[in-house]
Amino acid sequence: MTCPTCKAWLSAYLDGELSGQQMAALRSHLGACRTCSRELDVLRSIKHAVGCELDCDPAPGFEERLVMHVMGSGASSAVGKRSIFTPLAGWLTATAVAAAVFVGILTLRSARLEHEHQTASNSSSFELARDQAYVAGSEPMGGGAILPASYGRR
Amino acid sequence: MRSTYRQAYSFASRLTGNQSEAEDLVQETYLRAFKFFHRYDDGLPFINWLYRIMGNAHIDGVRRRGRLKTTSIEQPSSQGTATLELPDTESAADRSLMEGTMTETVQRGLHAMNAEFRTAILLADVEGMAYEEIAEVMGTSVGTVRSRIHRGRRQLRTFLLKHYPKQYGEAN
Repeated sequence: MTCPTCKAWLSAYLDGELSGQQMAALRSHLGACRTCSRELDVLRSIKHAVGCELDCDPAPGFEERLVMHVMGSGASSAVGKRSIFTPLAGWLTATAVAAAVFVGILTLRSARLEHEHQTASNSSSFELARDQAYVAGSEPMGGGAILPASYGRR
Repeated sequence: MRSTYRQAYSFASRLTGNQSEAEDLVQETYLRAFKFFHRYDDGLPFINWLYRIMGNAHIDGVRRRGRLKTTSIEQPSSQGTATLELPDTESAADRSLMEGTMTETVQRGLHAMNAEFRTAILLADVEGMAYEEIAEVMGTSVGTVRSRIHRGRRQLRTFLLKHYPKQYGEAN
């Protein structure tokens, strides 16, 4: 491998984007070439410097301004030509519905996985309790004890 | 919107290096996302789609304002030395997010480069995205992403060499 080829690959190597064969060839060259090895160190420090944490919180009240800006601007594009409501009511209704759907979808996505996990967990607990009742000889439909007396106690 | 705006603002801050511009960029991004939400393909993570909109909005804004003249620092001037144009960040009322630090120098270097290069580098080094992911966000190929990151880091290295020659100079 030549130095120009090595230098062209260094960024991709740092980002873990080379194939195994390419990495092996590059490492072999780096082991023998001080210049390219130094170049790698420089690029690594640049990558680290760029990725450093910045204290960049938005100004107070930005969230509220953002919501108002999006909803206010979005209202003008949400007006229909054939609304059965008065212009103002139709304007507010369309904007509120669209914004609610938008935010709702975002919220539901994050909640969906948690709900599925919880549902699976609840289902497993119920099935376990039901099986224990069967083994203990209880009659679930007969009004007798569903769960063994020792259930829940260690 | 409420669950993602902080992450979006953080990325916008790095793209613009300026608080008021970052806020404007975030507002523009969410406005576009709201307007074109029907085009969102949920095969792509929402924040990635947001970054795509933000990257395009940022590049559009840069081109429209023409503030960042992308002079290649790899091309020598007539005197044989490389020249570099920096954006006029001094005139903005709330200019840089940092003052007088190594990080500020790096940020200045980032803002001296091509907007596409800067976006690709930030997605890789700040957001930790793979090249394939960046290509999807930027609507381009993996090869183009690789080229942008490589050339962007070379530009940044040349810029930093002026301020920190011992740290960023080449080995003898």
